[in-house]
Amino acid sequence: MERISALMDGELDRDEAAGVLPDLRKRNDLREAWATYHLISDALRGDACVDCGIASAVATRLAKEPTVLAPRPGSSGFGKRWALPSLAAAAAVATVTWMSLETQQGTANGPIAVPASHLLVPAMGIQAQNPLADFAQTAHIPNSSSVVPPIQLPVREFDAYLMAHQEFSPSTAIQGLAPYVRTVTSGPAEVKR
Amino acid sequence: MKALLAALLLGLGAIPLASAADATSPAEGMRLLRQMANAARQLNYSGTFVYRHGAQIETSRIWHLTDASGDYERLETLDGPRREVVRSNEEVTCFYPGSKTAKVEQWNSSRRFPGVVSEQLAAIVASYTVRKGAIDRVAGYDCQIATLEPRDTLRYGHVFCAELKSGLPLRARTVNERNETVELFAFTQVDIGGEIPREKLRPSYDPLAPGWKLERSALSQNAESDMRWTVLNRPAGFRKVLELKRTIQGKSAAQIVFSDGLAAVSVFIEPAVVGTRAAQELTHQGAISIFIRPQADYVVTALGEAPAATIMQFGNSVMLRSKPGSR
Repeated sequence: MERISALMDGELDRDEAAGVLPDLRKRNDLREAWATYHLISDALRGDACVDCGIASAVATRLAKEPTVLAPRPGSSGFGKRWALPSLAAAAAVATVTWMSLETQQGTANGPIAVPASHLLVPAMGIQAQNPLADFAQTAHIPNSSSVVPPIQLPVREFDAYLMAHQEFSPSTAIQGLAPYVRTVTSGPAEVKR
Repeated sequence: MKALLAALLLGLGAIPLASAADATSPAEGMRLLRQMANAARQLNYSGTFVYRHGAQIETSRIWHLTDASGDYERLETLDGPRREVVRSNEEVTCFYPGSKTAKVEQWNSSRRFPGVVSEQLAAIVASYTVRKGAIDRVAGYDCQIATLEPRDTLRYGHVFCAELKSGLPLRARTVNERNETVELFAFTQVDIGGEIPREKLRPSYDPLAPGWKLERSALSQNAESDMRWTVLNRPAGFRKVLELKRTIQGKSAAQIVFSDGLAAVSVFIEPAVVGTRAAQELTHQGAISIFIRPQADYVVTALGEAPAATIMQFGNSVMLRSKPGSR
């Protein structure tokens, strides 16, 4: 798959490409990957959204849809067989709804979307020193497909990611430890203009 | 020194690639970069530097000691809350005494960005025009300016000033396409060479003391078959440097690192917490742009020393590979 991706990116030289092409002819999975990668790449280039929030849109529609729990009249065996799965589906929808209600609790400003990556932060107690300042200045780009608008959350959680990144940054190779100050800075991140 | 400079400048005429009058040969630019990296690694130095990001300026002290027993560095912030970073050989610890938290990370020399090596030359030259600038003065020392001007808007420009004798980088400036400084590291005072008292390299805090939380970030190299993620349509000039699996804040995440030789971008992918959907957000701190977005049941965090559009392109191009073995 790596080679297919590289081939698509034009990263293989003539000999390497010649090595991949026979495999591409023979193997279904590689051809499928080739087609999929192109589809994805076209979608990206065409500015079409790849993650259109279909799942959440479906969930919303499903939630609005009345769920009929009773077996359909006159469909005897069929109805019985499908009653349980449909009940399970209703339960699943109910669970999803309940969970989304759960996440919406505790805010006076209506629904929120809690970035998953932030959820563990308060529990683990690794908040930045000045959480209020951190709350203040994050630019949130609303996810147009998302049903619920995002809330402003601490950004300093990214210190851990910054630290994980810094080891591999050429800035560390050129400047030594100094760029690590990025991970311990007390200031909030700036709004992206 | 002047004779040397003249010789270098004359030498430029012979290089057809250097079309601009002041463009330095890639080899010379590379030599300057390598000299800075070597100086920062091999020299003992201590000093005070400012870190400017956006409108904020913060001052820190730094010590670097390298001897037969190993390589040690310590950085402490002088403004705002007390924070500290200590490196002892391959182990880096960030101390956040306000919340009594210490984050430890083990470097892996085989995976760490390998200094400035020849293989990077091609990458750097493909993406940047290297220019040797004038002699400037930083923290009382004469220094040589070296400019790396990006060939496109996918990356920032870099302006270094390296101390003339030792090559120690005294100032590193990152600039956007309007030549505005987005991030600056600059010594205001520095002692190069000489004795550094050992105690200056010891951490001020004991992360094992009661009340402290010690978080270790563990890494494990992925087997080829485990590499489930790929970044299609990545910004031009960036190559994949490595891919690994790590624990970050107690969660397992994949990290893929890309670099154009001077800037690096890390893409982290981790499972979303069940029942939640991450909000998309874009933040920056100086030269670092950070982009978080949900992707199916995962959260993608892309960050690095590059403009927002570049980081967003990385974050938006993450794809799950079709499983090996599946049809």
